[in-house]
Amino acid sequence: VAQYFGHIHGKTAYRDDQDIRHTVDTGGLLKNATALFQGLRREMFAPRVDERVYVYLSTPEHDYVYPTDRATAEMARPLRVKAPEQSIFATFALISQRDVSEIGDDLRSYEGTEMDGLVLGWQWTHPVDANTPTLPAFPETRYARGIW
Amino acid sequence: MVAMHDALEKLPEWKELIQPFKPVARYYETMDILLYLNADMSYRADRVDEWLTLLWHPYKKDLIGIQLKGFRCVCRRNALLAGIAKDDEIFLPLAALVASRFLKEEAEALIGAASNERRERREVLMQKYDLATAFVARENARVSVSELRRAA
Repeated sequence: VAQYFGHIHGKTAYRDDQDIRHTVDTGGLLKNATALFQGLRREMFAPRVDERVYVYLSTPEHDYVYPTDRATAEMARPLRVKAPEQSIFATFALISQRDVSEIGDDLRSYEGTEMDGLVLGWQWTHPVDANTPTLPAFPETRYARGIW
Repeated sequence: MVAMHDALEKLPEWKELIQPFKPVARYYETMDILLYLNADMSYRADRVDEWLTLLWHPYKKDLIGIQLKGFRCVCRRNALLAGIAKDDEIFLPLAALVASRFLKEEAEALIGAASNERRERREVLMQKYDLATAFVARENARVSVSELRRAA
């Protein structure tokens, strides 16, 4: 969840090692994406969904995580840590009109903002391409086609 | 309107977030993956093939989990899994699942490939599948019937 706010939404808060709270606007996914692909080379939950998935790639310097030791709500505050080594942040989304139209009416408009897509998931993908460090290794085995 | 970072700070009110971490295999429908992690932390996803992904510690060479992708399709194609999903309280060892997939589906593709390519690919794949199988066997990782039902 902390990764979603930090890397995809863009507006987040974290506590440093002095327990001082910082708010930060990372710009989120749309500002920081360095490459976009369409299509996953693997099966998804329904036929042809794999073809419609868009993959946004970015290379943030930091990661946002919850501490592993969080016995109380006070301890469960996001931290900013260095990004995992040799990794690209990948966000998987459905943005076609068809997919957006299938989102329930109650979700499609959130506090007056119309939704343009559905984020399916995100992860740090490892390792990076030896020649193009903004891409994961062997992108052609992972994704069907590059958009930009 | 509540600022997103304020919403984030309120997340600890979700009881789940401060529950002690328990390693379990969980099915995530939106990405159609079965995910098993033995540590409560971020990970680096290292793709092996269209079915298996190894999950590494963010900064160390420690395997901390695996992802099985396209899990719904596999459950629906596999009569044994579909049968188990109708049963009660059965836990299926993840090690068996990883190994059986390799034997049934990867082996066929490897037999069909040209000999040099086949040898190289087989070696790399076998190492990674061995790693995953040994990891989940060591962890005694199992998938519960309720997760199988969600996938099936």
